[in-house]
Amino acid sequence: MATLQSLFNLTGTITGQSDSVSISVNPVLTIGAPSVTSGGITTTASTNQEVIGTADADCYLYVRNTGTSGGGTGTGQIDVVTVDGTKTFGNLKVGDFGFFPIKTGIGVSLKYASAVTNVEYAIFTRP
Amino acid sequence: MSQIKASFELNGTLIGQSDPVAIKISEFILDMDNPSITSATRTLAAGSDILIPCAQGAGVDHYLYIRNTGTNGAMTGTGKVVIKDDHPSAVREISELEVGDFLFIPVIGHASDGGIEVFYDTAATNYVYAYFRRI
Repeated sequence: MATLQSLFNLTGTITGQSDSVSISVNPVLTIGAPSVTSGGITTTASTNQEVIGTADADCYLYVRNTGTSGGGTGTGQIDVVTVDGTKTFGNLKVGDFGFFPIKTGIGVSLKYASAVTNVEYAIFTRP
Repeated sequence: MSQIKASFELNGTLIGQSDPVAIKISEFILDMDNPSITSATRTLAAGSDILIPCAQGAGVDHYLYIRNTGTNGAMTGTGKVVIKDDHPSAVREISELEVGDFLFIPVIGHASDGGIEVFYDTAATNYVYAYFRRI
């Protein structure tokens, strides 16, 4: 097994709220095999691109719509969908990212939404 | 409208891989607005909590952050936080947070269903969460 050092920060001030946003966490994640350290795809109309299968173990998924903000040319959004297509639970505009554990048995596909875009992703199995 | 800055990093070396993990996003600006919850803490001892209600409407999306902070918020214990989408029909488990785990995801809004609900799993635990309506 290996470990990854994570860091996540959210900071800012929201109109009408006295307390500022100040979230900062940095847990160490224990990682098993297999993994995808860095992957890239370009979305295609009418195609769900599977990145995690239903038979895959619990894992951490990182995904970012790199589009035009990441050196790509894509302007579309990405829907994050269960592999069976029954549930769309996430949506990433250009520049948006997500990091979340995925339970085994669900599977995840990334789906074209509105226009072609570029996707960066990584998957780390959780032991 | 307001703006908050998000940063994210993952660093390390995986056994058997020549390339290190070096993911870095620095101060990416998120445009957001109310309704939002800047910070909230809940104890999950049984049942479930609805974090983002169903039927917010198509196009009403949120950035969601959740962290399992464990027993008394001290990062100890074994209780998991199970995250499900779609209340009350066709509930699907999406994610499961062990103590110390966190998630950050832009959650899509739906016209007629879809929402985020967290469920008790094996033992009582605490979690913190925040969400911000994405513009």
